[in-house]
Amino acid sequence: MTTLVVDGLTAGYAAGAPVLRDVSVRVEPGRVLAVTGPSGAGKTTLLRAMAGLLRPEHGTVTVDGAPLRDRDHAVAARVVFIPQGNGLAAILTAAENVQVALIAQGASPTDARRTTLDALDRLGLAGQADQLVEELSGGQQQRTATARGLALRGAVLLADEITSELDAQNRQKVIDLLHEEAARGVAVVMATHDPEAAASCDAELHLVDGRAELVRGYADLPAGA
Amino acid sequence: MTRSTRSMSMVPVALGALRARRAQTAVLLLIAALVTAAAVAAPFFVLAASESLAAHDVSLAPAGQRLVTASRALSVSDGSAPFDQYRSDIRRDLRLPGFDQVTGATADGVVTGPAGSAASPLAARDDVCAQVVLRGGCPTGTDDALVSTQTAADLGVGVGDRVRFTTPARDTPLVLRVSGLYQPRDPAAPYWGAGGLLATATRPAASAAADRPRGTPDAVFVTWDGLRASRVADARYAVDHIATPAGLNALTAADIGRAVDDGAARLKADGYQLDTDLPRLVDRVLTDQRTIQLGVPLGAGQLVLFGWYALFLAVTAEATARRADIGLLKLRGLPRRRIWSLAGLQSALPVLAGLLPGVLLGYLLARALAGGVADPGQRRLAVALAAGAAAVAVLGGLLAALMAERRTVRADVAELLRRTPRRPKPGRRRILRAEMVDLALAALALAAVYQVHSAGQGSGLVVLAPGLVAFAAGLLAARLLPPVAARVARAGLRGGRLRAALTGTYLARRPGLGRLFALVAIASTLAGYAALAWGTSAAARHQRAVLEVGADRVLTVAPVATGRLLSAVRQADPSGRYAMAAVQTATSAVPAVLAVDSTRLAAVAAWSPGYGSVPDRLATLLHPPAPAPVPVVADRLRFTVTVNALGPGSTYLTAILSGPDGRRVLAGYGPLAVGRHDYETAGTPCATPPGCRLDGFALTGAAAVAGRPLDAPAPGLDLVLHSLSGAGLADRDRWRPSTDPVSVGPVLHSDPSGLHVTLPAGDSFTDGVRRDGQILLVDAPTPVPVVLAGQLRDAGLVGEPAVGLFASTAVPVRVAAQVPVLPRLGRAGALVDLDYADRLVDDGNGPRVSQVWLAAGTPAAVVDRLRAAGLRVLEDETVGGRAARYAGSGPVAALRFQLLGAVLAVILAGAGVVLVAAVERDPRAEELTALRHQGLPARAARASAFDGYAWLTGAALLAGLLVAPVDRLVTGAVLPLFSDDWRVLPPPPLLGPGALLVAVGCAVVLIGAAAGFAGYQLARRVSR
Ligand SMILES: Nc1ncnc2c1ncn2[C@@H]1O[C@H](COP(=O)(O)OP(=O)(O)O)[C@@H](O)[C@H]1O
Ligand SMILES: [Mg+2]
Repeated sequence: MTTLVVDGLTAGYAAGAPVLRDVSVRVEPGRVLAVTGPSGAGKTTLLRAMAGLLRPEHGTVTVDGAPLRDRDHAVAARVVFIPQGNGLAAILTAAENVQVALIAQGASPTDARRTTLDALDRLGLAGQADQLVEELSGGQQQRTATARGLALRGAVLLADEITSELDAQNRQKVIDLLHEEAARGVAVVMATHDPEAAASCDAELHLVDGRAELVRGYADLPAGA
Repeated sequence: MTRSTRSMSMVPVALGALRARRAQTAVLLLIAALVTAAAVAAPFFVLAASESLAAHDVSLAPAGQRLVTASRALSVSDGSAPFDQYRSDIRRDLRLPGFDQVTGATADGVVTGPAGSAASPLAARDDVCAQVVLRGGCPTGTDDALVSTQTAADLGVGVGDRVRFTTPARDTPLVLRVSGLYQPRDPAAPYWGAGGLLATATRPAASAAADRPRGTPDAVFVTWDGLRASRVADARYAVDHIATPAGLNALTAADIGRAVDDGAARLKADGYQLDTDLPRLVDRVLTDQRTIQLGVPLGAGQLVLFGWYALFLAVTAEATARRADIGLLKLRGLPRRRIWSLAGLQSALPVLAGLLPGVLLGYLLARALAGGVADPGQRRLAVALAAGAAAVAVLGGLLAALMAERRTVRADVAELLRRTPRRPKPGRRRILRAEMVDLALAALALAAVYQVHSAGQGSGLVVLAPGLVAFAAGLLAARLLPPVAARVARAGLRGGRLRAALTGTYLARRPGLGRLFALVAIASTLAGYAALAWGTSAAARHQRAVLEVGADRVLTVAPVATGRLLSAVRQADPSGRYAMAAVQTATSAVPAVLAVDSTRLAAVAAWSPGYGSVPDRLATLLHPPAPAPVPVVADRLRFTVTVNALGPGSTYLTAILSGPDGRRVLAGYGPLAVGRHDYETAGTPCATPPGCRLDGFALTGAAAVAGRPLDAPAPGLDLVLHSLSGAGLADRDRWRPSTDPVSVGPVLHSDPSGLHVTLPAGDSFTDGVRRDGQILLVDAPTPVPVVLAGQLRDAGLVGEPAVGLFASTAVPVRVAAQVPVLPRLGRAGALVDLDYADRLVDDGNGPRVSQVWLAAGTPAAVVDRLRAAGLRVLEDETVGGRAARYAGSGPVAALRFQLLGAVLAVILAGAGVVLVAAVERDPRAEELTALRHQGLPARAARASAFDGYAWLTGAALLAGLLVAPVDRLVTGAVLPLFSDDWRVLPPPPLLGPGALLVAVGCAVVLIGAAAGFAGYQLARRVSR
């Protein structure tokens, strides 16, 4: 059971003012946190910081109390990241994208194979396993990225706008799968601008202009968050 | 906006796009420039090399091959001579513009001074004083004469002294005053004509008349008036025409060949004789011209083709990178014409921009490799040809570029917006156009290889064969890349090896990599092939030089008595490791003879395996044990003789000895008187140990004079030789008469008190048989062993063989071994031990060349000691120098261009790697970064950035390394090794591992640097 805590985070990109200002949030295992806000509010930035891809200017991002050093550290702490825009390698097929990630994170080749097929199947992509990424529709690509995120079976799962291109049925399926993950004890964060999706979550953090506002919290959220 | 301004407006857009991809544009420009450079270099190279090769051929030809000699018999017995008439006849009949002319006349005879005589011809020759180092003055009066330093020493005369010239064609001796002593500046210079004027020049056997005194036959020079005044009846007038680079060159060679033929006919009709070896030189010049005129443009053409391919690949890669932009433009409904002009301009502009630097580079490369074109007409021709070639290269380049763009411009939008191309659907494969091209090329290569084996050099596809094989093999090998890489990728994924999986996937799926692979593979094949060809050629040049020179360095020294040469060399190098004396006959007599100090042969001679023998064994064969020499150590040599009967006239006895310094010592006694007497001479150089070596005796009809033939006494002689200063003479087996088959010597018997000698009665002599009074000591094996190259029959050694060593009397020989090839002699000639030859030959003064062979690493002190011992070095030749001479031939020039082409091809391939890598850097970096975010370790990400390029170029280089030797084996040596068709030794192997390794090494460094750079640039972009 892993808890990810963002405490007083101020972060941004090299050029310009910080995108996030003094954001604090606690991601509990077994729960799903929705990060909402208008486009450009800093949702992706927050998830990147949680994934160890962005260095805080102030504040910390800690996993089980240890501040994240970088992405490799986050990977070691089993923080799984499904980036916005999928982060799939175009040169690989759907199955290979999942398999490579699994092997990179230490799975044995046979396990990786089995887990991959299983994950793709869960997302209804059994027929697309051997298609190149560019031969998949946008929604299929998004589901492939989700399959990869689920297959990795992390302790923390960061999903950035993974339902934007899905039809209603598939969107619901993906949201259900995230909840299943939470039920497994994973701390799940889902960035979305879909209020319906947000409503189904255990908590919701609303971002406006880089400032966070907890719309709905877990009963035991830290004070001031 | 009008149409034209609309399309004009695309130029700034295209320029902007090019500026945005500055590095890629620069590489494209480089490729275009190299293509143009190859095209432009060829005509300049050919025309410059034509000139320099012809000049090289002419200046390095043996003097004999540069001479065209028109001559006629001349009599000045009435004191007048129509020299001017002759000269104008010759000028009319033989037109060789640009040739130097030297007019001369010679009359054979003997010149005599107080100390001896020499068989020096009397000669008049234009400007002789300019060709010699002179002590004293040039002859001015009719009785002034120039005598060579050497002859003057033999005759015992100096400046101001008088000498007598006698000739059969004149009754009374001619008395001449020595106005100066000369030494030729360069005895090998063509000025001296085809021989006969200088002792060191080779002379045809026919003119070495047997009855002429032997001595140093440097000519005695007089003025033309002096020659006229000599009233010699039997002289020869000759005009030597000397080929110079100005007269005989690339442009004139064919005409000169015809002019010589025509002139010969006209001169013959007018009573003149024409002697020349010039046609051989003309042939060589023409062969060289043909070789480069064919070889260089072909090499350039091949390179231009290769460059177009590189350009096609580069533009395709660039266009692929622009696919998305084009796709968006299409999506926005931009008219196709404007899309065309935007896309076309982006590749056409760099290609056109490459024109100027390419022209400059091509010109500079040709200039660096072959020098400039001197002749203005040829220069204009070169410029015109280069302009044409550049136009073809650039137009072809543009076409290749537009073909590459066409695929992008015509593709549909959906396809354009993809990064990884659609994979062919399994089961629905059909033969595509690219595959047709590959197959056609392979068929052409096969046809060319077939022609090589059926037709031989110089026909049709043969010269194209190596290039065709390289192209076909490269393209076919590239076809293997995707399936093999896909297999590796699958296996990698199955085995959990991410690097293999990622690299394999990349190589299998990234578009255009097959072409890049082919580019590198073809370039490395071309490089390997060129290096192998160069290696064979260099080995052949070295091998030929070794054969022709004999040792690492060979000094030709002024003629010197063999014994002296032997002892001087042995004293200069007591170790026996560095220096060896050798003497070579300088006549055309068969077999040619090379005598060497065989105890040093193995240590000093440079030997190559092609000789089919080992020097140690030959030395053993040549030097079997021999009866010991008889030394005589005494100042006054006392001879004890009993004369039983004497023939008419007086009879003299001469002891023939070799002095401590190798000089011949003659001790004369007599006239002999009947009865037993002691005779004594004083003042021999034999007093100090080791004293003199006794060579034999001569019974003569007059007192013996050095350099004069020994005339035999009248028959009827009967005497017993008892002893010479204590040395007993009784052993009959140690004595023999002369071995010359045309002479009849004394009859020898044993007698308890000494050697019994009788001269056969007069009636046993017939015409053509020479009487000979010599009795020679047997101190060498008889018959003397020789090692023969060539057939016994050809060498005239069937039956009871005898050989005229050094144009002397014939000596019986035994063929101890037959070998295919001997140093300096080549495929025909006889090798003999110099010491034994010297002991056997009674008069070693025939035309010959004295040499000192030096092994590699000979200390300078050895050469100094040789000079100090009085050996005058006339010529100094090294294996390296001789090999370098052959490097100036047409085939080598063509090979040099081939090497240049190979280097350019490798650079083009490297540029291709850099360009493709630059174009695909963004998408690849993005992919690897994405994988990093999914947990791919930093090291694995960086490694796969390098892996792709390393495997691609490594496999392509390996393919080249494997194909190049095969290419060489199946196509053979397309270019001749030498322009004169030299075939004495079998050609070196087609494959020399050394050359291939050097080429591959260079290709690996260059391509490896490109691949490393590409990998580094990509790895830098992958987030940590
Ligand atoms: N790589 C980047 N460099 C600089 N600024 C960025 C970068 N990515 C995002 N931003 C800026 O940060 C802000 C937040 O962006 P983002 O986190 O992507 O918003 P959201 O995901 O909520 O739409 C935006 O104003 C955006 O312009
Ligand atoms: Mg976002």
